[in-house]
Amino acid sequence: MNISSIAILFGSIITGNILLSYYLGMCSFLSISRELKSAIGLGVAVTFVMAITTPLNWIVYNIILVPLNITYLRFIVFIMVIAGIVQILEMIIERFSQTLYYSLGIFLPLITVNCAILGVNLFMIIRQYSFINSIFYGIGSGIGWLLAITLLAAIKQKISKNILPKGVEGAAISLIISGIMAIAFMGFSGIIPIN
Amino acid sequence: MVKKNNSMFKENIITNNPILVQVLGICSTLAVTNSVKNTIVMCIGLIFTVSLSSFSLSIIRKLIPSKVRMIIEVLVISFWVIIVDLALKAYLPEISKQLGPYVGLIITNCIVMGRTEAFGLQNPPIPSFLDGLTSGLGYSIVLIFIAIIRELLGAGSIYGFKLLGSNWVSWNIMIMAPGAFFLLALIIWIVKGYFLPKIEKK
Amino acid sequence: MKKDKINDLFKNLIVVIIISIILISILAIIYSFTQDRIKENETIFKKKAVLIAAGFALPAKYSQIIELYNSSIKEIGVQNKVEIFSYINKQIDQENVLSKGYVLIFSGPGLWGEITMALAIANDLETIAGIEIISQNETPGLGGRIVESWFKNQFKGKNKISKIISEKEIPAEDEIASITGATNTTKYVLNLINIGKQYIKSFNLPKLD
Repeated sequence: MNISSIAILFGSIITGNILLSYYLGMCSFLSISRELKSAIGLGVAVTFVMAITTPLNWIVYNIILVPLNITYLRFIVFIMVIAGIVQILEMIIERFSQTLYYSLGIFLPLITVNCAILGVNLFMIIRQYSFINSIFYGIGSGIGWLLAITLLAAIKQKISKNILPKGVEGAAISLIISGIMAIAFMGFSGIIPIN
Repeated sequence: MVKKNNSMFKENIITNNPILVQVLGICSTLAVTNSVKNTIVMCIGLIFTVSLSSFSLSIIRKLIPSKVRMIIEVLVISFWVIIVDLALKAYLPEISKQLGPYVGLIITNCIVMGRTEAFGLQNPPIPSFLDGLTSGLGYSIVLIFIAIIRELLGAGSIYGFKLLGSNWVSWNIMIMAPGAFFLLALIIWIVKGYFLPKIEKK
Repeated sequence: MKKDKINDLFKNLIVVIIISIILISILAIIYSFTQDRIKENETIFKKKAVLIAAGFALPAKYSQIIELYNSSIKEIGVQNKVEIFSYINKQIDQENVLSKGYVLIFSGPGLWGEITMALAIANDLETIAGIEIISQNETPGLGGRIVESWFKNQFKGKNKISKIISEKEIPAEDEIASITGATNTTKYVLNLINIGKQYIKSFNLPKLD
């Protein structure tokens, strides 16, 4: 009996949002969320990398690491695969869209060390997803992250002119917004029926 | 030298605390703060990784070509994290199981990367080691504090010991994700709005 | 100019490869030392789960746990990826139906991923003697609470479960209290127990004397 892939897709976007319920990818989330445009750009890049690396690492893990009995090296191998994909993505973006390249600027190399991507890859292994499910999980988690960062950036832009108490501006207000968003996202749990 | 180290201690733990001031590296560890025990283990793993990565990268810093700097940093960090993972699996199997993927995520913790990049690659081994150690400590203190509050309110216990009686109605939200967000926001607010200005005045 | 670039690339590549080889060989050595211990831990983990499911009160020391396991659990075999054990619990009155029976270890779907469970079925091949969750990936604070003992203990001695009630109520003979906010995970656990019962039937296990 398999959990249907669609449930995994929606689950990973909403109720099991990689950022709002597993806290992964917070660093770039907090630092880039000031600007809506670059937030969307980074979100798309992350989605893209997740969608490629999750099934790729599934193959690497199940075809190379498991038969050789070297699964304890998975951290190194996964992060290297991710680094390679990010490098390629960086070259492609630089060639095709100079504006996007400049707006993302220093954040692109940071995708390698974005916890969300490695996190999704490790969760995929721990939850023993099948290959098909890992594709859906990768895409879903990416979209979920994109959704969360876009919403946060939009909300922050909206309140940017408001006067906040001393100490709340910056990180604290972002965290409060994320907390409220997390509760809202959790409200969807149970919406996908079992079986 | 001693004086310098002392000021580093103060800076990394208080005035430039990685979490409260720089808001770095909360990704992988915030998730385990719903239990004090897991948080302590995770923090020890993190301190170990950040100090030794900084130390070992500082030793080989002159051999690293600048173009592949990032890759080598990640390689060395993953190396130490795998050691932590193996040690946990061998000696603390139950905690290792509960931590799940989060041990591996120390690799992508911004503090580890940030300290090795900003300090380890420019300084000799011993100060790098100390810098990693103090940053890790400053980070751990905040997280353990968060974990104590979350576990106390969310499960009525600290370190697994029931403290609040059976009549205590657990605040489920504290165990779940939003609790951590609100709590961290509150702590940052208090520290940034109240304590830091005082320290700076001095 | 171009030659320089290629030389550079070559040099960088060699540095990366050398460093990776050194690091990976050190890891391999460390792994070979810890390997046995890790495997041992995994088996102890499983043995503990079987004992807990069968309703034993666990002793504190590892050696005592192993001793208890060896004296009261028999490993029967593996069928369809399901591990089968039989148990005789001398800690309980021998008249009690729960005092002997079978334990199965198997996996099935949860809300977020596989749940692996040890399910003990008493000698009448109907009554649940106990459950233990070996691994799960449910949401912490919600579905993740299926590992809490109040939840696991309520299955003990139950035969048919026909109703799920809320966490605050006290369940009757055929009822199970679900975890607030995680009714779906509760349903998955119930579903898993039914799968286990079907395994028991399909394996045609004999009653123990």
